[in-house]
Amino acid sequence: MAQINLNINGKEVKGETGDTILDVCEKNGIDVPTICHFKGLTDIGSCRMCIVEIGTERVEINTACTTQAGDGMVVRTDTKKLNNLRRTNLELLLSERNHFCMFCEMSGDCELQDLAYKFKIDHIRYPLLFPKLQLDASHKYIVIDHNRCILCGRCVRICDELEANHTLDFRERSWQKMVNIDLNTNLGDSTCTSCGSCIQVCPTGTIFDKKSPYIGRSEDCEFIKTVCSQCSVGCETEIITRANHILRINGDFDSEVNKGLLCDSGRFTPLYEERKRYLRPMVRLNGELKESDWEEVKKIIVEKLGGISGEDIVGLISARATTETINLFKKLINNVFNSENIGMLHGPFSTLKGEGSLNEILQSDLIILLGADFEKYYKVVRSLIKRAVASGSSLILIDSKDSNLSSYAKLSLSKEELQKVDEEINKATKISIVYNHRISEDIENWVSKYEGEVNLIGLIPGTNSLGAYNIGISREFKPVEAKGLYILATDENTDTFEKIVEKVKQSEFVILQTSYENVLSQEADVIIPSLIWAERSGSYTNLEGMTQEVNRSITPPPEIKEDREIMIGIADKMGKSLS
Amino acid sequence: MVPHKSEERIVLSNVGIIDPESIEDYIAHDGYMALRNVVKEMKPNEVIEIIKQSNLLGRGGAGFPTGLKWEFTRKAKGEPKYIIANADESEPGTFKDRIVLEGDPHRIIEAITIAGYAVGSNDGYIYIRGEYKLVQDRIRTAIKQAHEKGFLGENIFGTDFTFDIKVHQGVGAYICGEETALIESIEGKRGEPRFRPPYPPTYGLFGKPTVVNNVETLANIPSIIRNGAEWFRGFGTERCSGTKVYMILGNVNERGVIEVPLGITLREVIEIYGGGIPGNRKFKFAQTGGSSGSIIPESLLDVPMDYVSMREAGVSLGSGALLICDETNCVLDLLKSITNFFSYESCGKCVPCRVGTKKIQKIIESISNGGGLNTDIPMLEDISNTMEAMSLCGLGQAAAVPILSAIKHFKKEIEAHIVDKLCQANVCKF
Repeated sequence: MAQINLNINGKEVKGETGDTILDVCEKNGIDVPTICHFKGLTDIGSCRMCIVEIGTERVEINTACTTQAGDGMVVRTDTKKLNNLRRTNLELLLSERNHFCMFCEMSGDCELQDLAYKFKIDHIRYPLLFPKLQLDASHKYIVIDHNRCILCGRCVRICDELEANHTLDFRERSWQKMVNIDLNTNLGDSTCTSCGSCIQVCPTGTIFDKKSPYIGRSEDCEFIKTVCSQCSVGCETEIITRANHILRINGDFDSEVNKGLLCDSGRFTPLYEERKRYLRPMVRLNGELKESDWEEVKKIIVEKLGGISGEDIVGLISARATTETINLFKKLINNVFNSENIGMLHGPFSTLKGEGSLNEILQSDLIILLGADFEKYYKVVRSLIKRAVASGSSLILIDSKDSNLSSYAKLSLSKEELQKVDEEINKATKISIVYNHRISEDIENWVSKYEGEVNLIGLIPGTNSLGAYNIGISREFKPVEAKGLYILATDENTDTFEKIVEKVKQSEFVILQTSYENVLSQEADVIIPSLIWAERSGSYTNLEGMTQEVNRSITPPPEIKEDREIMIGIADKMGKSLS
Repeated sequence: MVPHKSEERIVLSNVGIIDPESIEDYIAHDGYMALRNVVKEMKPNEVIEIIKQSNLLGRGGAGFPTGLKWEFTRKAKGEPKYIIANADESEPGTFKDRIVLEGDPHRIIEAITIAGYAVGSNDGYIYIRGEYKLVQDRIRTAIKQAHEKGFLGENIFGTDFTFDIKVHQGVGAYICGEETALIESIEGKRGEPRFRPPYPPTYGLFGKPTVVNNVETLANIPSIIRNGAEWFRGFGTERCSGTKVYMILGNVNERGVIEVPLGITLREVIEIYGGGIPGNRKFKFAQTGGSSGSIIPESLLDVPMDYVSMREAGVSLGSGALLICDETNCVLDLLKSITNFFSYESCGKCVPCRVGTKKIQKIIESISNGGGLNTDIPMLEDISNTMEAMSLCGLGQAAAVPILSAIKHFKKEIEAHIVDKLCQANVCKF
């Protein structure tokens, strides 16, 4: 990267080869108005707001976002002529569709409105067209109101370039050009994966989610960066809160892991929680769960669990717990209750060392997917694979029936045909193998011969499982029934519990530390209310082995204690220390 | 199509004379001789040099030196390289390319192949307007015949030069005549222009160096190769060599197509070739270059019609379409057709053109209906200047031209419609 020198607005500034004029301006704090430009998406120069004057003798007007910066270029970004052109451009845009700020939930946070204020537009000289346009609210989470659309194409580009699903595009031309879904269907009936990226990039109030309209403007809200707790990819998020309520979950575009992308499980599901939350400890009396208090619960636990021998005690931990919590829980079970029986709630997982790099998928010319199931989780990984294939990589599916990926695959094989895969691996230069937890022993042996030679990524079930394994929780432990069963369940999803219901039923004394009512509740003897994802802080380790910071974004209800306090409290009551 | 005396036919030299579906007929008229000389006896750089020396300018409207375009593409980094013949002729009033393609298809095939050899490309495309069914048939037949004779395909004329031409059909979009939108269309994407720079010689089809040439431009190539650059410079003016195919349309006694050396004036075209205006009516205005051309008043009838002189007079030559209008025509009525056209054909990618063409269309419509306002002319100027200054591509820039030239030369007529609700030509109904 060589340095280049430009003269912008009379000032000598520096940039690098490969920069656009807009890049150089941004690096040097020179403000240029933009709309269709979005960092991370290809620039198309369609809104024309970022026009600049280039040259001295022959002055050319061109868009800064698409023009490569050249060494010695003379650029002006802020002349009267440019600003008049930009103002006319904005007025044309404002008169094209129905931009009624007073009714729009984006008012105050709208990039179009911001620009209108900046250019001091208080009236529009052109006759308004008042086209009659559709509002599509057919989708479960997302609404598209075409009346407010300025056809900037950011939603189309992110759906294609980052999510790699290409549900959105344009149809028709001229004033009839519209944002289009598939072959002109409603969003609710479409191939949309509900990742919600379009909501985040839309500069106006065209695309928005159904939960957060009219609840607050950015200036009223707080923004907290944290990590998604739905799966082990570890997408970095930004939680938007107001008055201790969560309004929206955004992807963090600065993140190296997901680059702003999320999936519906991460962006929407947490806000559509319908389970009933436990606000106080509960104790089973005469067959029924009754509200209790922390002192009584500690007393019961110490009496019951303290009276069972260590080999008959089992501790099961949800992968959503932070590493700090898992550490304390381990000490509690091992040292205080003398039990070695501790494992993950979701059951055993392969011992392969698959902590490869997600970004390397994009550089691999061959990607092999084993036992993939992207129905609920890891969808961001699926998008990475699709992007890699779109730029030339080959994909082989083994025992993977994801319909979204089948058209991307060069080969779709069963686990009996692993030889063919060996041949393909020999021909390739950079290989990524992504495997799922359904992988059986025979495939595991085959994969292990490539350990160390390829970019191996294990789609570890749960969120912080790697954090747990790294501090000594066994990968192979199978949940069993026990005389004393302590389940640190957190706000885990229900399907994880369903697998162990039978074992829990067969256990005698069950402690359930959880946030919501679930299928295990009726087997629990003691329920300790637990923090939910937005109230936790600590660390997670994602499937790449990267440690990430989980930050609390809302304060919990008053009677719900932090995991740390619960563990220490029980240990104290047992007369032991947890250090 | 009997040529007038004093026409100089280069582009149309075979049209109406040979059977377009017979390669033998083409060969009998020196067909494929140029290609043979090129591949057997010349080096690619020598071919480019001849075209440069000939000073052939692009005949699509932009007038860019063809030799330079080929040279840039040859020198650009990237493989494979492509040659594209732009046969998407959609400029209203323009049908010169159609005449060449229907009447002398082999000429274009030979030219594309020569371009391929010169530039270092083995892959040619010809993008044919969807509505030109006969052209598509004739070109396909011609390609097949050329293959059979060894003028296309592997080892052309027994050398190690390989070249093939693919036919791509448009589906009814004027914007796809714009070279980068055409490229996007071939790539299977929406026909929307790309931002420039980079230009096709550096970054074209599939991101590779590409030459996009108009059909009429290409039609000159075989003759230039056979007869030499100096011969070609013997036609036309000092600054613009060669001939031009002009289409004479509108209020003239003899409408049709002529091919004459560049530099002829509009007055000469009307009087000598058009046979004058019928009924001895007076000339009122003309539009040169199709819908995106300038509206020319009587005062400019004597400007030599070549690219440079026209530009210096502040008007455009464009495609060579010449729409002659007498006093029974209304400027506003013509502007109505033009603005309808642009508003319909705008691709919609950039704001000034997408919204600007619609606004202009609505204003013109309302003026011609008697709903004109005093703010209309300043507003038309404002929007047009904005489109000209900041549109993404030539369509937006050119759509402003007829409006601005009409306001410049026929302001009083437009004002009469607005203020007095009066149409002097009695065309607009209020």
